[in-house]
Amino acid sequence: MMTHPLLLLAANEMRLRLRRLSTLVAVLAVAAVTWAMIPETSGGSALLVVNDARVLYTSSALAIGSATMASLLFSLAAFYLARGRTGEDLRSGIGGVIGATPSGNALLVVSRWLGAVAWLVLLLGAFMLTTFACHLLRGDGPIQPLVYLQTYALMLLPMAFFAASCAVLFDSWSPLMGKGGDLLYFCLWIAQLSIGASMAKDGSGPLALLDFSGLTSAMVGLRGQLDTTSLGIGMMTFDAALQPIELTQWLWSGAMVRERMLCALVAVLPLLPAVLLFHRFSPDRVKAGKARRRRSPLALLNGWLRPLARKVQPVMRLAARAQGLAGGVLADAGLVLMTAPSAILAIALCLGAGMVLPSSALPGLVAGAVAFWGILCSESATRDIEAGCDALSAVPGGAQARLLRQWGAALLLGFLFTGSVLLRWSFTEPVRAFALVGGLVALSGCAVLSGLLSRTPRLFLGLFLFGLYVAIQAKGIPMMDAVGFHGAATVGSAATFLLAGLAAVAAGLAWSRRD
Amino acid sequence: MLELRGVTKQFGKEVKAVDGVTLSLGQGVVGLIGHNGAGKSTLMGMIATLTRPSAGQILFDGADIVRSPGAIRNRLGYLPQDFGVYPNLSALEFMQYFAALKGVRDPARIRHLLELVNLHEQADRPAAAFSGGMRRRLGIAQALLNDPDILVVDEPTAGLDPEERLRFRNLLGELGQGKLVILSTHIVSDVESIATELAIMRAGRLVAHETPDAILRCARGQVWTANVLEPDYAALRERVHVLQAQRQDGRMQLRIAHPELPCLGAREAEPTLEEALMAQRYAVQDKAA
Repeated sequence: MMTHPLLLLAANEMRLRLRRLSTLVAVLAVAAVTWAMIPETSGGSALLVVNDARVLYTSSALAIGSATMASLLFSLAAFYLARGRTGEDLRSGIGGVIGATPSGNALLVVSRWLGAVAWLVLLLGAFMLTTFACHLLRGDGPIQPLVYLQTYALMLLPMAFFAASCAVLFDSWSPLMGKGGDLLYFCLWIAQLSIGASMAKDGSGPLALLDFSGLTSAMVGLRGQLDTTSLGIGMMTFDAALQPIELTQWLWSGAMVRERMLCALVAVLPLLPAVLLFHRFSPDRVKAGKARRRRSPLALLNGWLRPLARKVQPVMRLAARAQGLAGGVLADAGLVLMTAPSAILAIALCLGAGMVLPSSALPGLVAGAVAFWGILCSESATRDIEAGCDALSAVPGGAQARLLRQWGAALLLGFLFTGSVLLRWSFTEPVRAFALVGGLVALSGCAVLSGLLSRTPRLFLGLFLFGLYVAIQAKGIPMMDAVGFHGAATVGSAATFLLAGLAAVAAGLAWSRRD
Repeated sequence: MLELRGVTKQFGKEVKAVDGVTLSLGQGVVGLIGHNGAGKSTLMGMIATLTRPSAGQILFDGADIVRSPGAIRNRLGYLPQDFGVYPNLSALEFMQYFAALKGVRDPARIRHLLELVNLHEQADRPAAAFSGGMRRRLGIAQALLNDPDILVVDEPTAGLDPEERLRFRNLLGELGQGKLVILSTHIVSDVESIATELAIMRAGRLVAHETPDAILRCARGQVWTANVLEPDYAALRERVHVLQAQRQDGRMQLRIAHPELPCLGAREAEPTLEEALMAQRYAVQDKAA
């Protein structure tokens, strides 16, 4: 029987996370991503391609390929999914009770970390099981669970440890609890991805201990075995005329295993400052409400730009005059701008720049505008929940009307951010303009749906930032060109995004009906 | 048992939420009374070791709890004002979580406490579906898990219906035997029948620490009843403190706080605790004016 307080507390953390709807959403998202990234080779693309030849879908190939993709996704999303428990304790008032118990900082911090790791491992397990299913349908050899387990454990456990450690540290130290922590982790993630470029060719050296995502180790291992630098992982096209390549069964050498284990140990180090800096829910150090938000850099900027909020008052008057949904959308958009005046400045800059910049600079502008707008959407979709007035905001028209209002407002703001570029593209590149519209509809729909289901901005934020990074990197793939970053989108891909966005809103409306 | 020596809590340079509170408490129910913003919750937060005093000492059985908070945490039960529950845990799981946090390993203790607060039949229901009163009772049950010597409950009856308030009040009264229960409220009737001592706070300062009987004794001769014509009422209320006014057949039935006979025909009344406290407060105000 499990009686040690650490295990009991960790089990409770796990239970709390498991019973959230966002866990189901995350598992479904994980399954969908896994399914999409292991393509049927008859379509001309494969998960792993070496020198234009596809790598056979054996256990070792699918394990390393899927683990690499999982690491890329999870090393970012895991942090945003894992953090936020402290905020929950603060909002519910349970934090004060926990702080007054005799439990030490180490017990509280480590139990939260264990719970977060266990939950992430469960998600990774769902990922692996979906890969097994893909293997059964599309694989070129038998499923070898131990091969999968070895690769997943060595590649993904240090990543899960690090994401959970950072989530716990950032939740334990009040200066990192808000958006500042979210942005800092995003920077850490980018830095991690660039580790490979700084490492020695054989992958050894102290930097390898900071390769928590395992991406560099995997690449070095694969390159070493296949003796090539032309290696592609993801939905890569291949030359069907070339002989397929088969990976050896066991990819990890003893030295690499040792290195990954050391890396896992290093990944736990953020827990030390977490224990030392843990605020213990003291009102002197951390507050649930406004005091906490005032200290974040974005909140400070919004504080300085507060006079700009007055410029939005005519919008509110207009909203009051307008009837029905249109008035609600205007009011909601006005509220977003009044609470985040930095968005007013950003919109003005984007609109101005969109009119004067040369065509070649417009994709960069759109990327920046969409990044700002997406972060804004992640917050506005859960604003009422975070402020504890979701019941109040549902009074005019009900929960469904609120969802439509929020979606409409997000879309309206998206058009404000990208309006001038959209206008120019609609004359010069109409398909790209359509892609921009489709992308905005899809992203705003997903923002309100994930906010509704998960009741936290972090699910959408994590997936959005990851998707943005991938979309900016992936050139020439229509389905990755969500808002016309690269001009690769087709009418079909843009229409797909548009329909996906509308489907998300429809799902949100159906879910709201149960309220 | 618990001694506060010149405890002060300052926010920024100007705001003193608690200002030099000195207080010595033993077993019994202590009602900490004061208006919203009087400093009650801040003082309770300091006793619960959540926040540190800017100055002064809090001693529990002689040990300074700021230096060694573990001394009190093992023997403390705390129910904050804004107590909530996790949305996805049953009452039983919620209790198990706090039992683990408090190092309580006896499952029978959890069952016993759920029975004590009359939630044993709802133990497997999600706590988020509980009414306000049921949540407060669950809060008290978690506070009692470690059989504390000090129970700190902050505004426990806020937002409860009369029946739940009565039930909660009785429960706290029973718990006050053999423990120190510190109960903060701005509703005097919550502590009237159960408090053995009252500590009254105003603007961060402790203005009185007495038994309810002593406060009632002091208020004798300061609370009056009067029956006046409606036209006379307006003039009367300009010069006396009206505690209660009720219209009856064209006349006003009044209860008045005043240091001497307020009007002809007025009769001395037996004050309630709330009236006694109001009379005391008005006397201080009038003196200061």
